[in-house]
Amino acid sequence: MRDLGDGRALLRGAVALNHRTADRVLVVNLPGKGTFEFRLRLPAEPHRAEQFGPWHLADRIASPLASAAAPQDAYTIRYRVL
Amino acid sequence: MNTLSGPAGMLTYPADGQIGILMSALSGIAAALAVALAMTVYFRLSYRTWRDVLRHGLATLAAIALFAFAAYDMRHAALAYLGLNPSKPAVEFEIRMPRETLTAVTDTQIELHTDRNQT
Repeated sequence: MRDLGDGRALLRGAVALNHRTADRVLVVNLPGKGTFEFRLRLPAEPHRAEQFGPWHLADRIASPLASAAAPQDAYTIRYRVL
Repeated sequence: MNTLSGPAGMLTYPADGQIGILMSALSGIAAALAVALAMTVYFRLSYRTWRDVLRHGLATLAAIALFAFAAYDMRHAALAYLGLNPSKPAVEFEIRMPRETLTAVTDTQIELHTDRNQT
């Protein structure tokens, strides 16, 4: 986790691609804050990449916070295949 | 639309890997013929003892083993260079969110859901 200094934080991580499918959703569960779903737009057998892709908005947010406090455009993801 | 038939048609329009199997079979036959010729020449040309045959056989086996290892290693290196390494890939991600949302990183749970591991 890293503080970006503009009121936002950056969460970094990695997950293994154990299944050959294009239907992949990264689910991030922050206890007390909500569950955030990010669809990974990758083919079933993705090629490795040196650079991160563009930032994508969260596809689904289930948050106990008020909707104004958890706007969907505040949560973005970018990823690359190792 | 196929306008050619017969052997010419097979060479122009391979169907379901048949031409691949044919080429593999022809290559195997050619290799077997070459080995048979070499062994015939070896066993008929000069006088040798059983010890000589054993030594030559072991040397040939060692050479074949080394060649096979080199071929396997080169294939693995070539696939890795081309990004076709069959090892499982992984996805590295970065998620931006409001600072106040990420207060307890240790409690964060991250899962990758697919249509293969979800009912």
